[in-house]
Amino acid sequence: MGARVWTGKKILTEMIIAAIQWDVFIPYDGLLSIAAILMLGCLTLVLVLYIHRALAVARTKKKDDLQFRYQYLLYDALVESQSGNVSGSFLETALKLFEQERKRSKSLNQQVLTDIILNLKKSLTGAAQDQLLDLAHALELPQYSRKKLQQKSSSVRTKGLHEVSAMQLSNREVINEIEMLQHTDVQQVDQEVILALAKLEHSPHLTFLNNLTTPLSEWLQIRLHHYLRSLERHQLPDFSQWLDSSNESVVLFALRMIAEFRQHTANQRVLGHLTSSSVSILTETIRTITRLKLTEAIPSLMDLTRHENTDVQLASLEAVGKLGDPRQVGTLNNLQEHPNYWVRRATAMVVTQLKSNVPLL
Amino acid sequence: MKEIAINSITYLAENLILIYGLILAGFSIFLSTVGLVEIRKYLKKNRLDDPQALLSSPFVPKISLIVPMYNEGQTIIDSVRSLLSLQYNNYEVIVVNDGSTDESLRKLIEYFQLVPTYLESNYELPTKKVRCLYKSRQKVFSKLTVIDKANGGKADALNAGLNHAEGKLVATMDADSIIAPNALLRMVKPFLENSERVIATGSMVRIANSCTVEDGSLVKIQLPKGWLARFQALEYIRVFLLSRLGWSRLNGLLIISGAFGLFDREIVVKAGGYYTKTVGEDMELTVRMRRYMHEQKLAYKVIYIPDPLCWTEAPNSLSQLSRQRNRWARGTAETLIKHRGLLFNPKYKLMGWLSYPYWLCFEFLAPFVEAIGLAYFTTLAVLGHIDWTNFLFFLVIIYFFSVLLSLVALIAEEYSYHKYQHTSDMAKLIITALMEPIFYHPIILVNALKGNLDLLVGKKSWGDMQRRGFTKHQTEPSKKVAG
Repeated sequence: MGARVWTGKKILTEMIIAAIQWDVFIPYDGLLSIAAILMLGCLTLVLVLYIHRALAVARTKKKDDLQFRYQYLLYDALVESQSGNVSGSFLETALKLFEQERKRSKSLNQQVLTDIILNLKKSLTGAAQDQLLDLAHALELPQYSRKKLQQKSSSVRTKGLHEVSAMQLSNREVINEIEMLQHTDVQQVDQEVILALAKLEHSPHLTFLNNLTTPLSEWLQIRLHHYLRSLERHQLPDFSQWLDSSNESVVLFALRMIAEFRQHTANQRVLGHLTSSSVSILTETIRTITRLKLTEAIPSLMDLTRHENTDVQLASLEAVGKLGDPRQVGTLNNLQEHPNYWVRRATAMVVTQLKSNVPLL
Repeated sequence: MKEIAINSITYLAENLILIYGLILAGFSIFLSTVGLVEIRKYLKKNRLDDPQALLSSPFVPKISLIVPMYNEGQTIIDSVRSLLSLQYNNYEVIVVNDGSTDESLRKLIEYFQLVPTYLESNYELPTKKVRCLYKSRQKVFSKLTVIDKANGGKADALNAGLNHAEGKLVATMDADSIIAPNALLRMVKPFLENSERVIATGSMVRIANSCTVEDGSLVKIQLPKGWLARFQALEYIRVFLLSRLGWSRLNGLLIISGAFGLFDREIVVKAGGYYTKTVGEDMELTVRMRRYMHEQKLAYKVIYIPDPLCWTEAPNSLSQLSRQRNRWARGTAETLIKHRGLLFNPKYKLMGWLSYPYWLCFEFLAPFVEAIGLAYFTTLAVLGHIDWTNFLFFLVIIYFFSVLLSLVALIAEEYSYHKYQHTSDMAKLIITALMEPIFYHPIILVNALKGNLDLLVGKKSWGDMQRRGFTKHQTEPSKKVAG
């Protein structure tokens, strides 16, 4: 043991000596080498810069050319199918044109085609959108995107999820494959899985909300809402089912969606949240009540104008201003002396609003 | 062991500058590497972003954009017009006239048809007297509020804006900066997607000299024509694209540029708002907000995004540059002195162990070390003790290392935003990188030293910055920014 300690100490000593005398090991030759390496590094980077620029220019040009050509073919197919000069639908005409293109250039650039179709899809609705999706399926673009789900790179997988859901590749096998991608360490993939599953269901059940233990980010809420807005009202789930969730962010999302989609069947349950101990839920409930125009809540809202939390007070004042009538002015006047500037300011505005009897709703 | 310790100390003393340089080089390599990895990750993560979801969402937080104004008559109308048409559906613009002596306020009142409001003034954060709050008679300008107050400096004006900001988030910017139309959309995203509380975000600031600006918006990007502005363009790419992104990844960022930043209003106010007795109010606020979060034991993040969202006019002359860098040096020193309690304080975690020591040693002390090194070298040269071969090698190493860092920054720029697209721009930037250590660095060094000297003698002023202005409203539809 003693010998080993001595050896260790000696090695350590030698190492320290070597470290503090490192310049012994890096004489002129060493310095020259470092300088040469750095100079070579600079030259390499300059070369990389120029090569990258040249490649990028060539790549962009090729992509632009292809984009122009494919867009032209799509436009051609649309015009020909509508002119009646050729027999067949848009799909048949487009497929014929793209088949010719495939023969001409040996292959089709599926990524460029996918990007064009998905971009175009955003600006179309109804039958036109369906025709475009049919074309994508006929050209086997969803299969091309599906392959990305198996890739290691999370950004490629995310892109694949986005494309597969946008092209409505909704068979059981694909959904299973997507579900398998859930609960990774990458937040972005998890979010894209949630969105993809929601998009691939005819009537999204949003079942993931039932067991969600982590906070539902504002960003995901915004994206979900953006998608849900594109659906018919009858396709939407009953959001009140999540009002009693133990996850606060899920309750907030449910309240927001109830307000946004005017789900009046949830009125009583929403009013029940006026006694919530959570400031965030209380504030969101008040906003929901305002959006749903639940005037029966005015007495409770008047009480809440004296709540200890400023956010709750401000939301209540705004609600009273929108739902109330001049009878509330007398009670509100007391708040004009409130120590908080924002409460005073909101009160002044609400009082003016109620006095002038101009409903803001 | 005792002998080794003595040897080590002697060696360290003799080679302090060399060791300092090596640590600095190590830090630079480390931050550049982290920055490169981060920029790649950021671009991959955001390439699928659909701005439409954010643009049309009723759930985005309200942002109050505060623009302090002092004698900005030449550009203010264009700037405000451009700010009123940003891509975001829930924001207000608060222009704070900090006692301008030119016609800025009159121009605003006339152009935007402003009228005084009955609203009382808020002094939650103490400021100089607010004379009046103006709103526009025109519905189309309903997002605009103008605060007229007595002169109290930029920080005081920002505090007045904060006092009247309705938004949960506040964006602050310089009146002469140009921000991209999607700037708020980009900057707000970290606040929405993080589970941890984000208290501030900053973005990359670019040089607008020689760019074409129309109606307060950037329409054509060009590399600055003047050498001084070009040096700064390269410097900004290096600092913002690599270094700040690296610090952001480590959650150790100590500064959100005053040119454009987005903050959580609640935390700004609770931390005490902008400190009016410093010329580096942007860095001071970021440090104080971070301190507040640590002291309250709250988890938080300060995030930097590499998108070039803000464009600013860089000093065109040596005297202007000198004043700017002098002020930056004083600002850094003031903040570091004020928050000296952070140094190696375990309570502040990474900020105490790494960020603060880094700023102290490699931002604040760097000019002193360099000056001492030069003085030491001169003395040795006079005494004939220089090993010229060794010296030459070191000089070449330092030079190529500096050039290498700039080239890495250019690679990052080329792979990411690729803003300078003209064929000759690349060559110009490479030449700039080759010349920078010789011609530009000494200017920065001298001014940083002067700034610290001025701080010692108690200089407090900002120094004037003569703006050439981006456009001449009503007389010219568009114009190139000089430089």
